[in-house]
Amino acid sequence: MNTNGQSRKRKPIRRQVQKMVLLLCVAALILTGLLWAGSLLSLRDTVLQDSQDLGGSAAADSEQALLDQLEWNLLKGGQSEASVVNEKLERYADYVRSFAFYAHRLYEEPSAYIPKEVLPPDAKSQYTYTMQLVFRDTAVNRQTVQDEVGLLANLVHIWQPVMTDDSGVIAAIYLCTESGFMLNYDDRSDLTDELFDYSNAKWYKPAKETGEVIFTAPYMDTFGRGLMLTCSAPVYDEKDRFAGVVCIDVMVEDLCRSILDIDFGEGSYAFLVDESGDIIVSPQMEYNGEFENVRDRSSMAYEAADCIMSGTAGVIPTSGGLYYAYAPIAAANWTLVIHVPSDMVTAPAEDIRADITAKTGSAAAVMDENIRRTGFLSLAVFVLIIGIVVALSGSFSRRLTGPLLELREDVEHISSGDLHHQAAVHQDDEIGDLAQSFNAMASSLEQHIRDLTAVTAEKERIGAELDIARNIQASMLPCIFPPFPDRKEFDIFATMDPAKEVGGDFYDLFMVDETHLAIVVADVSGKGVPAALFMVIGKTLIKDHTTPGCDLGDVFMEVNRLLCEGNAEEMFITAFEGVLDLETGRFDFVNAGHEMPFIRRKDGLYAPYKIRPGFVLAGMEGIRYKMGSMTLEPGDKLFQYTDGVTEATDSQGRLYGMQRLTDVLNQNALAAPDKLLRAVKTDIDAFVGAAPQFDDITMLCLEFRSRLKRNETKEMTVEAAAENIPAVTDFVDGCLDALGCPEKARLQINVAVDELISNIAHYAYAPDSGQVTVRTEPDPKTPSVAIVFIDSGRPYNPLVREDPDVTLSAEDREPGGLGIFMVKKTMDDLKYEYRNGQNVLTIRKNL
Amino acid sequence: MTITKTQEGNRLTLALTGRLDTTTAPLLDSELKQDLGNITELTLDFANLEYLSSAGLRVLLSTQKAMNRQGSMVLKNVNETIMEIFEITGFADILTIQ
Repeated sequence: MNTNGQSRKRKPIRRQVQKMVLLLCVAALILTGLLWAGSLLSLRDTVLQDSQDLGGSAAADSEQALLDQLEWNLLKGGQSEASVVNEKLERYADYVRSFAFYAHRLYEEPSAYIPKEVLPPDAKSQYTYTMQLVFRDTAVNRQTVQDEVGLLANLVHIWQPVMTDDSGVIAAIYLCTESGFMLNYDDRSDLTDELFDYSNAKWYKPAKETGEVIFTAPYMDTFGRGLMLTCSAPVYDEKDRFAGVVCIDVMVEDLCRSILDIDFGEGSYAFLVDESGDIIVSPQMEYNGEFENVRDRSSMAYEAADCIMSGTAGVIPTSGGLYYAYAPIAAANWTLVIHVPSDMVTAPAEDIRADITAKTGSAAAVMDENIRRTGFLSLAVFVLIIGIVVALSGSFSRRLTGPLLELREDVEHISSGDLHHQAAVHQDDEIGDLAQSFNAMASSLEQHIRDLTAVTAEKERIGAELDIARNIQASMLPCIFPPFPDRKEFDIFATMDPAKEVGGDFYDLFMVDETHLAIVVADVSGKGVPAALFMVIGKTLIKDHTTPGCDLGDVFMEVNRLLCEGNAEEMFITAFEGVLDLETGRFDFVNAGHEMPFIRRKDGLYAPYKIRPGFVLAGMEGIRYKMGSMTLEPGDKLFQYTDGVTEATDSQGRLYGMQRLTDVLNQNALAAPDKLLRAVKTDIDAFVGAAPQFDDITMLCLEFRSRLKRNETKEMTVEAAAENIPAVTDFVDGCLDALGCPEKARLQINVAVDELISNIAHYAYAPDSGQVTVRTEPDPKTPSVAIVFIDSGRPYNPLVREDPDVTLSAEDREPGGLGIFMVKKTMDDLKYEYRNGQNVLTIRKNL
Repeated sequence: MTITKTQEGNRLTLALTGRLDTTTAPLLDSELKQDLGNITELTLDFANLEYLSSAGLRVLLSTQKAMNRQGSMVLKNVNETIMEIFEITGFADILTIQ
């Protein structure tokens, strides 16, 4: 089972299951982990991006909102302030306009007004509101203008209430005429020299030229009362000619303060621009008569200048990060401008942006930390899960393979021969089924083995019995060769090779009497035990019925009759029987359906001897058999066989046949019977080769060597001595054996030879020694044998000696005389004669 | 003939094989004379003895006489031929045959 398995590593199912589960688990975990980590990271990125976007947009939005708010505030604030300033300036403009109107009225109707005297400035009138007269220059003819001065002095009537109402704001009210005088109403008397050339004053010339109300830029009051401006309006005479300019000096410290106080955050300030672009009020102003113009490139508001000067309200950012809000002050053609650095505005938005970015960053860090922590936690959980899976899958696979291992042990038990062993069936699953199958297999194996054992035992028993039967059969066939070693008249050899354990062939050879040898070769139909049993009967019957002098035809008729009586199996026998008369060579035979014998005449060749076969034995009742007869000469041979010889078959199915048999017989024509049979058998074996033997092979060869000489007298002569007794005994035994002497008679003759030879040895020649001749004379007729003892010693007839008294007790008995006595008692006849100087003692024993 | 001797104290058993005849009787005679000394029970086993002649009878007679003086002698497993000789010669009455 391990032909290839040895080289490959063993993979237990347990490990495979564990590995597979582990692999799946790890793969699932890794996949899940990757997906999880991916989505987590993606989520993180999205959140961070969103957060950043949110922060950015929030910052931008808030910035924009702030800017919008700022713009709005600026716009509104600017307009509001401008409106306040405008209102105030309008009021001042209304004052001067009404003064100009009043003056015009004065020109138109001088008669309606009483001329008033106006004095030059006087230090005494310091801090008292008074009207003072000042001349433009000395060239003015004071007389000429006196009426005009008187007329216009009536202005004091409206100046005075105005001054009273706005004394804190209006520092002075004055009228400068083209004719060269100036009426000044205030509480200061600084113009002491009575001359003031106003013709080039800022408030005079423009008003004269434009015919409009003019506001000057604020300037520092010469009396130190702070910032001041002058508002002037042209005055026209009765003929609407320009007559002069009426002015008020307004204290604008507060107004400027209110502008300078405008605050839109750090870095912001407000300033006023006049119609020419000059900055007339600003925190940076020194009021020294020098102005910065917004249209100058050096101005910070240069970019916004056009808008500022457009006369509309608005807000405009500059590239320098500045916002300029502007609002027109219509009364003076001025513009209020508010300067705001935008970074101040956007700083909160930037703060928000930074705050959001910082928060986003910290959120990202927190998220990263969480992700890292989650990663570690997941890793730990994964390791834990893998550990649990390993343990569980191990336990599961052990539970799975445990019954298998148990089953393996059970099966090993069973395979080691313990078929009673039952594999434990724990589960109702495939393994349980397997265990049940093994149990069923073991039971069935056990049953088979039991059956097989029984069958084998039965077969062994039958085999043993067949073996016994074969031994019996073999022992029934004469198998000791030569069977009659003393018979020199013939040589015989026979063999039987059974095809099965017990065969149906048989042969037999036996002496019918002293001079007749019977041979039988037969073949029982069928093989095996039945044939062997039938053969035993046949063989026994034939031998029993073959008696001296009988007719073989009668023998077979009787045997046939007896065999037919008890032949339920309808078996039959082909048989050949012959009886050889050893004295004459006459060979009587009878054939019951058997093969013809081969006869080889001396110096000739083997040839089948044609005889008419009779019907088989046991084939049919009442069959007559006819005995045939021929004569064998010394040197002739007879070969008889069964069909197993000629029908021996080789592997191609060819028969051995008569021709091969004849050839091999003649090739060994000179061979003795045993050698001949061996040669034939060798030839058959060579022919058959490896093909199985189907039939018993039986052969018998009889060689007739010489005719038996009957009644032959034999003798031997030895020295009469006790030590020669065995030799004489052997000689006599040889004769007795030839006669078929019974054992008891032979022993008695032996004793007689012993007694008589020792008698002669002791007495006939004593003290010398001499010869004794022993002659055997068989008489087949009686049948009997005579043994003659002849010696040339002193004459002595042992028969005349008196018999010993056999009735005496041991003590009284003499040891002598018992020998002759015993011979007398055991032999049938004793005869003594002294003839030709020889003692001749003849004993005769009937056989 | 061969003689197989078995001695247990005063008991002596001789088993004879072959022929007890003129040639072999002296052998048995000399064996007995040598070993009989203080034997009180002598057993002769004839199981394998084919026959015996008058020489054998002589040895049996003399031994029987000797044993009559010092103990007892028993013959056993005597075959038919020899028994006939014992009966013919009157030895059947003299010997103790089992």
